[in-house]
Amino acid sequence: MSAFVGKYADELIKTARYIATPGKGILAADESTGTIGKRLSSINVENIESNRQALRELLFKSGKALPYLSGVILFEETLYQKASDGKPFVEVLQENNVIPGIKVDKGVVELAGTNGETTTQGFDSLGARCQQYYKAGARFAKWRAVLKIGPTEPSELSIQQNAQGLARYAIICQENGLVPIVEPEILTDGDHDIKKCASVTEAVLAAVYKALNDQHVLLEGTLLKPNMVTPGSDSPKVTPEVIAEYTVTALRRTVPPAVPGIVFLSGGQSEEEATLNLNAMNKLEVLKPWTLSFSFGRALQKSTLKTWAGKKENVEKAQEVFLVRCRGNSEATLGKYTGGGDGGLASESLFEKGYKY
Amino acid sequence: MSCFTNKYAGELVKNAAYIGTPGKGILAADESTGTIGKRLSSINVENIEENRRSLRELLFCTPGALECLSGVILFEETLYQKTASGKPFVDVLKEGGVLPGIKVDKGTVELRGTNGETTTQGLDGLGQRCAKYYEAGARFAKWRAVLKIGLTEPSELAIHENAYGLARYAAICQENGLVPIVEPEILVDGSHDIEKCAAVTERVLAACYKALNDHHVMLEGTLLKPNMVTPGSDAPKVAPEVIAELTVRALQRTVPAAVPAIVFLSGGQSEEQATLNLNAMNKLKTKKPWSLSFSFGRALQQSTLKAWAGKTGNVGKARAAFLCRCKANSEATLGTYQGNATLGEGASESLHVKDYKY
Repeated sequence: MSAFVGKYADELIKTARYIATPGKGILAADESTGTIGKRLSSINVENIESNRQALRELLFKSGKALPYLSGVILFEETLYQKASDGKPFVEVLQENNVIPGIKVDKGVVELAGTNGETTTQGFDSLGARCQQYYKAGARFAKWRAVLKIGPTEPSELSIQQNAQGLARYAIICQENGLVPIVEPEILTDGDHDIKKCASVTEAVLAAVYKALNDQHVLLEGTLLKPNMVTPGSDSPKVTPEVIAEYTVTALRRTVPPAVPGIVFLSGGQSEEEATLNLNAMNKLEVLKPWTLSFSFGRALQKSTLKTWAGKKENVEKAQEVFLVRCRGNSEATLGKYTGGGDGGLASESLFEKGYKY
Repeated sequence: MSCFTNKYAGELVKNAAYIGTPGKGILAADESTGTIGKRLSSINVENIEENRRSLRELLFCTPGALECLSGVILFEETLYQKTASGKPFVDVLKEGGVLPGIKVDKGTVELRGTNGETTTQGLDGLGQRCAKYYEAGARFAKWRAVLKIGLTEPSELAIHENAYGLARYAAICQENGLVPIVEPEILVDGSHDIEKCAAVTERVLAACYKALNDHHVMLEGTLLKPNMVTPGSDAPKVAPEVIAELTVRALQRTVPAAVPAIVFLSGGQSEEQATLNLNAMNKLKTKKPWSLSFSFGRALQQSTLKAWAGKTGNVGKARAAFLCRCKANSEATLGTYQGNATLGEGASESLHVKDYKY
């Protein structure tokens, strides 16, 4: 085979397929300590370990929401944390058929000579780290590559660096039993139209899959986490149906059928926008050989965070809000979302210029 | 869109989709004058224009055959030929619901410094030629790139040259209204096993689709004509089910869903083998977002040629043989072939010619 088939091959395929189960998706709860600090400060909560633990406990103990999740991406600290009753978070998730995942990249650094373009670091000892994470219960990983649209961006250098980086990360994961989520995020920043975003997305994804093939990655044991195809943040909005059409067309032109599932990132979209767009994609009557689901961070947690505000007495109410978003996105993966029902919080844009994780 | 679209976009998409209609496939009747000469000499027929014309009339006017076909690839000479009663072949095909296609490459030349690897020529003035062929009624084109498997083959150079040649050809075709069939044939010659063929096929196809993307080709208006994934000609044979599984897996790993249809070449396979393999693929229960059909030359014509032997009195017999293979392959695209086609003389005969040159 041109693909590397190691001892984990069958398990990787099975895990990837499970994560892609229709009706389920991923909660991206892998905010680094710095990033989660920003979230907590927005609700006036101190960025200390116990608060980070409390937030994640709120989410992972939302018993009614867990059936809508096939996986949760964790930050390293969280992988080793426990619930207040002493049970490791990993076990809480596993007992509810939610697969623990782990963020393994170490952020972005600038590419000298470019106009602010970046590449992602994290290769050093990545294999050994993956082994440790596997032992701790993780079964999938995530690595975020970032590209941007501009007059001369993304440059060929940026596309090649990020595509090859993703492919190298992916094969190392597979060697060590983790399903790699391949995430080539093209930022929404800019005043370009949706056609430009589509064109860039197709070029980037084509480069990514060429790199994955070059490096012998087993596509059946991977997932893709792309941006949706949308107008730039400074451009007039379009309807979910238009976003759905351009997005699915771009994917049909670049993502081989061997990939079991595509789990979209939400970027700066509001909770409601992200769900409506995902729903429109799943309603589209065109052949889609991979499932279309979610891997949302902000778009699953925003209103939950606001409702919690760091107070114990708000936990139950916050979990209700979280359930609404999880269930809504689950319905969206089936094209059955009917919208609304949350009091407006969900429609707040989460866009931040030059967003850094 | 990252792809180029023009006034022909809608038509290209429609024609490509039509060629992929379940139950139909392509007859590759585009043998160059030299190559058809070899076929004719194998049945002791002189290679003159009238005989070439008679053979094609025999095929295109077989009652019932055109229903099994969505396209026929022609050589340039044939595009302008007529039936004995004066009807242009192009019209015969169109009336039968079959799209005329045209071979546009000009054969292969060796790549200096490689071990006999080649690249394909034909890009000079290709745009104008395509426009001319479109006027003559052609609606799709074909260009054959050739690669081989060896210790150090295919080389990165051969893969790159052939992939980018195919992409350039495809872009030019689309500019001029012709659906490009993308054909990266990996020869079956060799003693390698089927896994090796699978690995090479995946590598080659990945390079092709990267090149097509680079050249802004609209995939929805293209077709793929690949080799099936098989053991080398000098290696032990395997069952159609194995060929089906590894072939479809290679395609799942490399061919985007936007491509409407995949029309296999038969390589050196016998008529029956090619049909059985295609049938096994269509029976496979797995993700296949493109239809899987045929674009057979030898594997549709071998027993027909033998039955004809150049004699007018044999035309009926020859047509029966041809119709038989057309129907068999039509069923194979639906996975319903029972393997009970009346085997004409030579239907099980391997058609492998070492180092085959078109």
